[in-house]
Amino acid sequence: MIDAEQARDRQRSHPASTAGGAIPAPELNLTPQEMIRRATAMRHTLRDRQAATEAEGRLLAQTNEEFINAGFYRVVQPRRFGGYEFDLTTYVRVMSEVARGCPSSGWVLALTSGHPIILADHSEQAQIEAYGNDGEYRCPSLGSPIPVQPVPGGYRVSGFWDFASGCDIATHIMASGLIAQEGAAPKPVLMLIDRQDYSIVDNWNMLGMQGTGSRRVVVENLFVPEHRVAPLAMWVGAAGDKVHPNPMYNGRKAGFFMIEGGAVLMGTARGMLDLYDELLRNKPMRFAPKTKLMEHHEFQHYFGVAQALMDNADAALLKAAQDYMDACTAQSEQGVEFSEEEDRRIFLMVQQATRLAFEAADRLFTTAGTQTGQSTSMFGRYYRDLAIQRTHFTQQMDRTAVNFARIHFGFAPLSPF
Amino acid sequence: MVSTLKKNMAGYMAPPEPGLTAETLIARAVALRPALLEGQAAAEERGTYSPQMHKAFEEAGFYRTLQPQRYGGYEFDVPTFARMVMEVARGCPGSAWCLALSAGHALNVAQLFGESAQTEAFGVDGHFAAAARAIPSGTATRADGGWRLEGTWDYCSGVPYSTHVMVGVRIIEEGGAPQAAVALVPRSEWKMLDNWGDFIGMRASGSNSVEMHSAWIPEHFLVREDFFAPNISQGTEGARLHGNPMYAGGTLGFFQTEISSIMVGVGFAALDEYENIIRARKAFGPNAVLQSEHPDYQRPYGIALGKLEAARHAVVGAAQEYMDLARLSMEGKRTYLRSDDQRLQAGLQHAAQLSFEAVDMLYRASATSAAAKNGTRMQRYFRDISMARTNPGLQFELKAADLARQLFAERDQRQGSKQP
Repeated sequence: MIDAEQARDRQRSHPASTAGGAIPAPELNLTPQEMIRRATAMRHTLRDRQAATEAEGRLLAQTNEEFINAGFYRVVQPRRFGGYEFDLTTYVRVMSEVARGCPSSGWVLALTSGHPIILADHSEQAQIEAYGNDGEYRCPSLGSPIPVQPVPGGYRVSGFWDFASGCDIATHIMASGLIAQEGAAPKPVLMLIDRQDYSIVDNWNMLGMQGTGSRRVVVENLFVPEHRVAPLAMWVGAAGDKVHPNPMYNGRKAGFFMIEGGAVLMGTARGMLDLYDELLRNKPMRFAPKTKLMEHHEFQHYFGVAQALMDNADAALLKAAQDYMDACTAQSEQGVEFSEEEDRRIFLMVQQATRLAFEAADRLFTTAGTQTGQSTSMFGRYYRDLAIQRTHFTQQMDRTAVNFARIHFGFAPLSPF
Repeated sequence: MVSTLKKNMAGYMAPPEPGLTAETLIARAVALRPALLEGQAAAEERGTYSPQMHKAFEEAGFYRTLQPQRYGGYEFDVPTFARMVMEVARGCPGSAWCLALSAGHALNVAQLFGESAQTEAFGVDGHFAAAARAIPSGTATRADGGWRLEGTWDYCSGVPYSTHVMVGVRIIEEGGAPQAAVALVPRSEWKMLDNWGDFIGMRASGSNSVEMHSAWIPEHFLVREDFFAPNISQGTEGARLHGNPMYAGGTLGFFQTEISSIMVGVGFAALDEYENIIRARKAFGPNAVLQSEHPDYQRPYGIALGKLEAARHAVVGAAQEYMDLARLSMEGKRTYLRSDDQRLQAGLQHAAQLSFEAVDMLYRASATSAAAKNGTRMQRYFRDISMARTNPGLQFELKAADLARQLFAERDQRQGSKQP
């Protein structure tokens, strides 16, 4: 455990601690196109490593190194803190391409590299500490808040959070807590916690997405200073200190969170379509005349429809990413509120897009033959990965649909999301 | 053509419980559900149900559901079989797959083979179960007044407790092109390979491969029929022997009844589990009520139940239509057409699809990542039905154009001319 004094000691002097100072990005001239190209180029290597990633139950260290070198973790990181500050559509494309090669690796990447946008609601001091001297920041965000104890200068925290995707390769976690309020519901917050202050329990044992290492993280009697605690914006919608001038950092967070998972899901389904394409070219029909599947009228139909479903799903996700950025910009530049209704509308749009991708994937899996059901089949692995993504708590579309409509008609939503 | 079928009671072997009714048989399947639920994980691990469960199925009379009375069976109808299988599947989908795909094939033996083969196969005690693999994956050559068999048949669901297998073979004869046939092979002649289990789901289905090296069967244990389309236009010897048209129907409709009964059972199993989950868990957000009291969780239950009701009726209805079509055909009133068989299959495929939609909805509605963890029942049902859906028989789109083509061709033939 550390105390308040030690916590203050950690607030070292950083290059970015003054408004004029900044951490340089590793590659000053890196373009969005080049980053997307790198993600595409990595796909086959990622595919080759799928089985090993699954067996290891976490993002492979080697893959993590390559992601760092390619600059992926800095895709939407603020320029001031050594990031590339590309837009959300670039983010979506990079994450989808990586997930297309390996869904688990894509998931870890997307849910850690995207979180500079969540961190943006924290105080400037917290961000300065998070990015450190070199801008290395990989940070899962953890729901299921636990009660925290107010103490002078901050909070004392003991407990655990499950499903900490990427905790093994993370530099920090943002963990959720509840602060008791007199005569009111507890206030949900996100606490920035350093890697050295949490331990990992491997309780991740799943049908799919096994390579995400979404394990339990535990803190014991940890002091979290006040400046490292921010409102849980994803739930309450409140924006933080608006440290960054780029409007992308100052929007609501639920829609963005859904876009993160959506990007991975699109890549996963797209990866299945890649395999199906190969299968149709190579596999013969079981019965005479045993022509290749690609010559069969019905398989041509399957392929064409799956392609259309996937393209529509991708298009909807990119539209959602653009709508999100537009809502951020309109708020910052024209004073049009980024409303809760708009946030849920974007959330809902991504949920519907993922359903198109599920539909495509279902069609591919059920027509690809019984062998794809083998535990070692890569095709089967994509299906299993999707089956897990389907169960993510953000995928409860019924809930979001009702809550969106309630907000639209002026009623209070029944729950977050 | 024989217009009426009469039972010849001479030489009958009494079943273990002569007075057993169809309703009692189904009630026994319901009563076994708690034990099946309890044994799911172990059955998955084992790759099939336990020897104790096998004994329970045997004592309940399940293996004899469709077996001719002449050979110690109960000779219930196909709807009874379908309902029994649904109940077993509601307890354990994989076990039901293993049971249905061995117990059901008494019907095919009684249909396809002659009296002497049946007498020998159903044996002295009348216990019979036969996994079947219709796709010809081996050869038959003449030897010692019978047939020599070689080959390996994959996905022989139900084989762990089978007394026989029925497999598609290619007859290799001098001077002739290979010809399709069905061979009935007793267990002494083949080896079950230990190669089942490493699949996403339906791991309890006992879908091991069967290997034959120099297996031998007598002449009459092989029939020159296409397993997927046997010649039933003149009725069958089996139907006349047993005085029951049930043994004269097409095979597609029957095979699909086996599978779709299981699929519907999985749907109800998932519905049961969904209810358990939402009664125990609170909805999301502040001041949350139990999920079972929340409309967003009640709605999937209601929709899933509706889909499953439709699917259940579709399966039982198709099973009954199989019985009716077979009877009309034996009575010479209406031919059991190839398109009839495909039509039954199509309806049954969509019953399975409805059940999948229900399971998918329940899995997603109940599931948080926690519910998808290994070892949970809902996750197992999702895996089971996912695996089942890769079954070629369920590719409804692939078969749809075939059905249309066949139907149009039959109509053209009846009208004596093609459309301009």
